[in-house]
Amino acid sequence: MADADRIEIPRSAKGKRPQYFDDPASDKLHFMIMALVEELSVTRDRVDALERVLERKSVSTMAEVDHFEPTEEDEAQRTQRRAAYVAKIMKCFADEAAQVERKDPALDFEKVVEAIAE
Amino acid sequence: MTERQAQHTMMIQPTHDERARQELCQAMRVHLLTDVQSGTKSVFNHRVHPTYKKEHGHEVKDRHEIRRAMSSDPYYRVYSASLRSSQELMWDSIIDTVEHEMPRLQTEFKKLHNQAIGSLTLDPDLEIPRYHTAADIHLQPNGYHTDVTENDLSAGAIFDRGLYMYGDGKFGPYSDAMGHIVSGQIKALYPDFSPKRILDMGCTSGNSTLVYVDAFPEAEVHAVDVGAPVLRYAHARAETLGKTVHFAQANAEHTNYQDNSFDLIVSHILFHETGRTALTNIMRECHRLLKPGGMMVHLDIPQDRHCDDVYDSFLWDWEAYNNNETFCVVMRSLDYEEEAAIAGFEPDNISIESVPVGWPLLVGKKAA
Repeated sequence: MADADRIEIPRSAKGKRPQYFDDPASDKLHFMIMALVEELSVTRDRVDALERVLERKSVSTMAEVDHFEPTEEDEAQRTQRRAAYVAKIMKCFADEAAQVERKDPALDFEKVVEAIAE
Repeated sequence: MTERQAQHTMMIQPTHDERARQELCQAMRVHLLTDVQSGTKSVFNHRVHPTYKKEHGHEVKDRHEIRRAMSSDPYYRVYSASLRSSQELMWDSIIDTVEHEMPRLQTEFKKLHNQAIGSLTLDPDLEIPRYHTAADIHLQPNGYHTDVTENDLSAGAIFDRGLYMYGDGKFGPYSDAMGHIVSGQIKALYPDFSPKRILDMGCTSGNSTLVYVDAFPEAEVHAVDVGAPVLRYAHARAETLGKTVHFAQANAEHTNYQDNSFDLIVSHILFHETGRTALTNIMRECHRLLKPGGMMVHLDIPQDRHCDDVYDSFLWDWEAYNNNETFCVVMRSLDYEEEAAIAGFEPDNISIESVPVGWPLLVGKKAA
C-alpha cells in the first residue's frame, strides 16, 4: 500500500516515564544504546537470512528475504545466537553480580600502582 | 523450545526486519528477567542490605523498604532502565507491523463479521474509566480503548502479539494458558458444575475467553471489555478460529446484563489493571449478575501474602512503578475475601485456591 494511506498509531505511552539515573541525559543515552542493540541484531538477522536464502538456492531477491520463513531448525539456531548476543551485550551485569557474590574488595589503584612499582 | 505463536487470518504478518526486532526484544526481556534479575538479588543480599542494616540498625521490614533501598543502587537502576526500554521497544516493533497490516485486517474483519457465528455489540457512548485514560497500561501506546481509524482493530492486534512476546510464549501458542488454568481448576474443584451462561470480564483479545467454548460446550459464552479496538479484533479472531462468543463493549463495574443471568463469571489478570473502587464494584456486579448457586472465579498475580520471600514480593511490584500497572501495588495488599464479602458473597462461600503456577484464584459462590 502507499505510505500516504498508512495509518499512524502513537508511539509513546501516556504516563510519565521514571528517571532512572541522576542525570536525565544518561536515561536518553541508555535508551539509545538499547535501540542500537536492537538494530544491530536486526542487521545480523538480515545477513543471516540472506546467507540462508542463498544457501537454499543460488538466486536471491530482497522480497525473498522479507518473506523468509525459517525452519524449526533455523529458528532454534537463530534463537540461540540471539540469546548469546544479548548475554554478551549485557555482560556488565553478570560481571558485577559475580564481583558482589565473591565480595571482591574495592581496589585502591594508587596502592596497587605503588605495590607493582616496588 | 517454546512453541511458536499460532497463525490464523487475524495474526499480523511482520516483515523480516520487523520480526527480527520483535524477537530481539523478546530475547532481551528473557535475559533481563533471568540472569540479570537474579543478579539484583545478589546485589541486594551482599551490598544493599548490609549497608541498609548499618544505616538503619535493622533489617528491611517489607517490599517497600527494599524498593527504596534498591532505587539508588547502580546495578538495579541499569536493570530497571533496561527492562523499561525493552518494553517500549517491544511495542514499537509491533506497531511497525500493525500499521501496514491494518487494511488487510480490516478487510478480513468485515468478511468474518458478515458471516459471524458469534456477535459484537459496541457502545460508542461508554465512558472509559480513569484507570485506562490516566496512563497507558503496561506502556501499550494508546491503551486498549483508543480508535485511531474507523473500524480500528489496532489495539487488539498489538496486544495479541505483545502478550505472546511478553510471556516469551509461556502462555502457549494461542496465549490462552490462563483460560486453561482457570477452567481446569473449576472442573477439578467442581466436577458436577455445568454452567449454561458464562461471562469473561476484561477479555482484551479474547485469548482466554475461547477456552471456555471448548471447556463447556453446552454453555453460551459472553465477554466484555471497555476497549472497542480490542473487541473488534477479539471478535474477528474468535470467528476465524470458529468459536462462538458474544462480545460486548461494557465496563465490568456496571454492565447492561440482567440480574441473575450468568452461572459462571471469570476474569484473567483483570484486577490489577483496575482501581480500588472499581475492584469493589466489579465484585458487586458479579454478585448481581450471578444466578443463585452461580460462581465468580478470578485469577491474578500473587499478592504480598502469597510470596514466601519478601524479595520476590518486591520484584512483583516492578510493574507498578515502571510499567504503568499502577494499581498492582495496592491490589497486592488487599484482602480478597473481605472485598468479596462486602460485595455480598457469604464468607462460607468465598475461598482462595492456589493454581499450578502458584497464583491465587478467588472463588465466590452466590448463595443458592
